[in-house]
Amino acid sequence: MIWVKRILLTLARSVAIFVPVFLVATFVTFALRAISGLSPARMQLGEQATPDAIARIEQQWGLDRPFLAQYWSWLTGMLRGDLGASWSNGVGVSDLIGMGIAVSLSVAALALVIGIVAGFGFGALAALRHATLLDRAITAVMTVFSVMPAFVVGIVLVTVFAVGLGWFPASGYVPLELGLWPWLSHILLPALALSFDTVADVARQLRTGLIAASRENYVTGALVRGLSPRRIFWHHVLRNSSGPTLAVLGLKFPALIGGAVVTETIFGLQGFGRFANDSAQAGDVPAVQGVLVVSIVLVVVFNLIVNIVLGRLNPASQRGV
Amino acid sequence: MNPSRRTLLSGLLGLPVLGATLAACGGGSGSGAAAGAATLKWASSYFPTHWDPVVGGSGAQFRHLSLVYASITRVNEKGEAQPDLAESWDYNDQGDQVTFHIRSGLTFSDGTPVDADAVKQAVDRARTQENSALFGDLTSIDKVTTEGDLDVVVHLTQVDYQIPLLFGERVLQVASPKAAADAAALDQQPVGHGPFVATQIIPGTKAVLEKNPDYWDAANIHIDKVELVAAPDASTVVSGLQTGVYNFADLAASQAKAAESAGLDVFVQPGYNASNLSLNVNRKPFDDPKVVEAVRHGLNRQEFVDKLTFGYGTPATQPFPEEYIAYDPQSADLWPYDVAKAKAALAQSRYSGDDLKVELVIPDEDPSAEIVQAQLAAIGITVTITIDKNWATPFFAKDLVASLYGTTGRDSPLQTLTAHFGPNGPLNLSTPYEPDGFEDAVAKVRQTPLEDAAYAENLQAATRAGLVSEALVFTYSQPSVYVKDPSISDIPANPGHVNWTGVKIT
Repeated sequence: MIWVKRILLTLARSVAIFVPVFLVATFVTFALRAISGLSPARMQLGEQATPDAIARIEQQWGLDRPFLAQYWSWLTGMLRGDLGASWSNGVGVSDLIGMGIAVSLSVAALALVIGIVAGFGFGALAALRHATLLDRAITAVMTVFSVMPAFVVGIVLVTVFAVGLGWFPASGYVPLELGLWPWLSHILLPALALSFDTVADVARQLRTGLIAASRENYVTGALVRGLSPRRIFWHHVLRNSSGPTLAVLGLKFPALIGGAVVTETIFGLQGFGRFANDSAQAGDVPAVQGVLVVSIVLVVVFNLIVNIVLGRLNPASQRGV
Repeated sequence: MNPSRRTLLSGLLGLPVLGATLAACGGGSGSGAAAGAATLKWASSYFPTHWDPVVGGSGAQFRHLSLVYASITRVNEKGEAQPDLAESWDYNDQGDQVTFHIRSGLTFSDGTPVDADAVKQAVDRARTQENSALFGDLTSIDKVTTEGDLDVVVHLTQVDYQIPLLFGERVLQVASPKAAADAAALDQQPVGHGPFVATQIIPGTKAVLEKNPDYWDAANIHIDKVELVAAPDASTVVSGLQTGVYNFADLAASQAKAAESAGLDVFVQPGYNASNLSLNVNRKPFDDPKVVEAVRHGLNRQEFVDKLTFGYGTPATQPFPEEYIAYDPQSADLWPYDVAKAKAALAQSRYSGDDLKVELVIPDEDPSAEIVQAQLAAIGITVTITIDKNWATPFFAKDLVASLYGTTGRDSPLQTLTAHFGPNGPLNLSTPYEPDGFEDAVAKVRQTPLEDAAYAENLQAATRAGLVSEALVFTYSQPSVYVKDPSISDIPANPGHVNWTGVKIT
């Protein structure tokens, strides 16, 4: 049961870091509303935004209370899963983010799958054929992929596969419960657009890791002992070299969700990223605060998962150098 | 015999081919519409944040809320008040009381009757609900009472023949009083008597509406379903239309050429769009009329049109287009662009040098601000552009020295005038300043029935009086550009509105 102990230790260490970061980050973000002087009245009243009307609306939202009282209400509400109400439309922020996150998770998960499959494929192929023309070609293509912005890829994909060939819808989202293909066809292009960067990073990281691992003495020893190349690759070389690649993935998934603003805009997806952008543009402070909370949780949870997987995969990573 | 027989056989053989051709054409023209159902797929940059018409106010989203709500009156293609929920109305002899006669037998989609009491509650709510964005539009109203089931009596604080225009879509969309009892719920799930019933609303994202068979004008609504979505990036709207994801959208003028070359119908919906430079004559340096005169002559409207409207705009010297009843021909070009005159006026003012530094505060990045900056620099006024996310607070509190504003007007031209030039006008940055004689001109229009022979003349006189105002310098008009799939027929050209009466989707 030693591994259970290790997981618990990892969790405890992560929580010890997470809590203060979370509190400081939320406090600072909450303070920004007071510093900015932004008001829900601006959004709602339009041309009727007289000083009296503004004061009335702000009182309705509780913004006339002392700052710390407001922060405490928000913090305790948040710990119960209540992120307050959007200034834009009065809907619960938890509900709005929930809707958006379902869209973003669909796209990000598919992008991640594409990134892993294609990245591992290209990376392994380049490593197995390293120092050949194929290796150089793959490396060059991965370099191009890594510098292509998602929105450029997105526009090209729309132009070719949606407008030109008519194979996929250019915009919009259909929930999975309405059908597998409708759902998949709507998220495939945005997922492809988002995946290029992941494919490139995973491929290059894995190629480097595989080449380095295959030069280690234990691989030579295994060969001498007559183990098959396939067994050596899958059980020893791949396992050891995938650690750094998994660490890269630990950064990718949150970025795929949170950094998808542009892709979601291009493809007309009302996801988490676009919600975050729209809220910030509109000055919808409760929504921005909610976005921050969810972003922190996503990053921490995903890194916890990666740490646990790394620990299982490579016990040395738990001991430190 | 043989020739006749051969002809008959040829005819019979031809039928399947013709049928196949028709079937193929039918499939093609469907353009993504569900088989057998006329579906409007509208991508809009103004997806409603509030579905309660009282909270939504007269901003652009009233066009979307009108899918669900009918209003007391509506406008035709000339901008004249027409029956809607009220089939007619009568003023008393003094002109300070108007009775609206509601159509009989109508219901809201929750079964509640559309009667005099429901309409009274709608007006009262617009005037008094705490978060109403309409209260400022209804100050002529003293109280509303009912007579019988179908007569609504509006008692006025003054003679005002503009009420039927005020009670249109922009101001008086009528919600079910039963649903409105919980205003917060109504704001998320609208219930009205309009052409469509909302069956699903995802906040900020998507609304699905089905045709309302009980709508009083249902016979003229030929669309079965509406899918309204928040528009993605402007450049993506066109590809969405090309691939059938959408079949209707408001369009950024910058994308109009792309849409046209893609074979889509691009059109301008008439309206009262007008942008202006707002000045505060209660602040230096605009408290000197000579500085204002300099600005008036120093602005080159054509540059705004050339650089900002992509061929769809026009220079504007008034808040109305030339073809409109309230447009005053006598005020067509009161202050022509003239740098020499502008500099001369500035030289005569009591300000010079650092006194002529002006802060222009705007809510967002706006290229017209840079045009203003460059043009005023050319005559000797230094403009600093400040972007303030919280711009609305000082603007409507009349604390700014200068700003930019664009409006789509109102159904009542007099309301447009008072909003811009009146002492309580929200768009008058110099409140309580108003031009001499404006108040009298306005009162005269209010006292003139809409069908009176002198109405147009009196209205134009009020426009003329208002334009003397030193608080606003109009610059250009960017009309509302829309794009639709050719399968959708033309929509009614009701100025400032998007209505679906008579529209068909093939």
